[in-house]
Amino acid sequence: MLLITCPVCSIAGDETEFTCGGLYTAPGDQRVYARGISREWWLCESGCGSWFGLARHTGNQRISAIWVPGEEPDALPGEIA
Amino acid sequence: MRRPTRRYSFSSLLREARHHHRGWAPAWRKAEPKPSYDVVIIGGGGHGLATAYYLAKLHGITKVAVLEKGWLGGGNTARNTAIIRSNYLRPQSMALYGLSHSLFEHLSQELDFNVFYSPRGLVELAFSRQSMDALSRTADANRHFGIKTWMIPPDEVRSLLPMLDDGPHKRYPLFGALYQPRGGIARHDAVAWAYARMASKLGVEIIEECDVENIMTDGAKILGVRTSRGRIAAGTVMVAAAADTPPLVAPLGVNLPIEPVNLQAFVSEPLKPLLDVVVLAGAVDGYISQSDKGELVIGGATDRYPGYSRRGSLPEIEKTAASMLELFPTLSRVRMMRHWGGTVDITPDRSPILGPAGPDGLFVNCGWGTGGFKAIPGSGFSMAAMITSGNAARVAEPYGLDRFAQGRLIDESAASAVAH
Repeated sequence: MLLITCPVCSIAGDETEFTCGGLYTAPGDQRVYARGISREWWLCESGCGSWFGLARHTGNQRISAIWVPGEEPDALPGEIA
Repeated sequence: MRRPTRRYSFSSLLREARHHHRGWAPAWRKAEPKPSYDVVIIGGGGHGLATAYYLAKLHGITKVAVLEKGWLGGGNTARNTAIIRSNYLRPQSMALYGLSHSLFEHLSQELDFNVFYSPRGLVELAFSRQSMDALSRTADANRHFGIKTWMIPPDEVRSLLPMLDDGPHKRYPLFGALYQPRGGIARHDAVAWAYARMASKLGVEIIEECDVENIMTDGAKILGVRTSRGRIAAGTVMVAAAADTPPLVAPLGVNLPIEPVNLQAFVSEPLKPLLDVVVLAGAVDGYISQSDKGELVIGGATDRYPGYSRRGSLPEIEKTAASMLELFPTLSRVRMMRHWGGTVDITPDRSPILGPAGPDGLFVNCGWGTGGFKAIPGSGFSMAAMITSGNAARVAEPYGLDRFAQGRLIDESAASAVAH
């Protein structure tokens, strides 16, 4: 189970309060999911309705960073290039 | 010193009973990797083992190695709800799953191993007019292709499912169901073991705890694989590793449009017989059957985000349990006994990817999503023919990777029991 805090409105909840929008990629980027830390778009569905960024390990589901678009973190340890 | 007993029969059972069952031979040989094979199959699940068996049995290719990084059938073959059906909508799907279903009918006899195939009947419930329309289209298409399914009215559904609660207070009124009388279940481990045993008997080498690190190529054709137990040369390599297939073939320039997603299921404590058909209910995202041991086997929708975790998550368990209780409130006091997750490999059109890909000699058999178990015999049969003859398989041919570039999608997203 994922526990997420929206970086915009600070509402916290499990995965059912949010919607995953896929990989945090630019249009036309053909990357697909792999085992490791991936950056994703998530929607604060039950709160403010904002999209934000989230870095999650697809194997152990650990969340290593959450950010507002435009404030992306630098490369994270274990992140898939 | 007695020779080990290999054949399973009533007389061998009696003989072994007299000797306290100490004389049974292992079901398959634990092989050590050799320097080279004609065909290497990556993935010792149902699809890999079935392909190896049909290569040896029907095409005489016995210099085959099946490489499994864990134990046989420990991946998605062991992590499903073992439902067998062929009530799909698209002609390509009906051909593939219909072939598989027909092979399941005689699989125990062919492999001399009881796979506990139980064609007890399968109902797909409709709780709206739209759902009735969609299932009626499927029934019509099935009839056209010789797959026996038909629509049944609510009264007949109630007679098949006396514990179904569809009273006037219910959120979803029952409109009817699509019924496939030969739909059913089988024992998933037994299917993997049966194929492994018979393939091994025919000369196939099954190598467990052998992790494939990469696939070797000269750029134009396949040379073999590099594994945790050394290099193995082979002119043909088939990858049947579900969601682990894309990272294995990506370095060869093969990009598979597959998303890994966790799918969960759970079983209850054993109960006396109360459910003698398989029930699929798309409206509430759930499906249920009762195993021969009496446990209720319950599945739901996939997790709502991709991942390789094979873990449970409380929201999905809660949602699936609520779905089942909506249909069968009498189960409210049943205790759940165990629960698991598997990583399903989902393609954009919810149909598998079968056939050659990239360098000459490379084949992929993946993208089965939530419907892989029921397709094991048909997939193995078709892939063995494709590897041998290069075409085969009319049944498998439409499932090539090039369909995504050419727009020949086989959209079966609506044929899933639940929303995937």
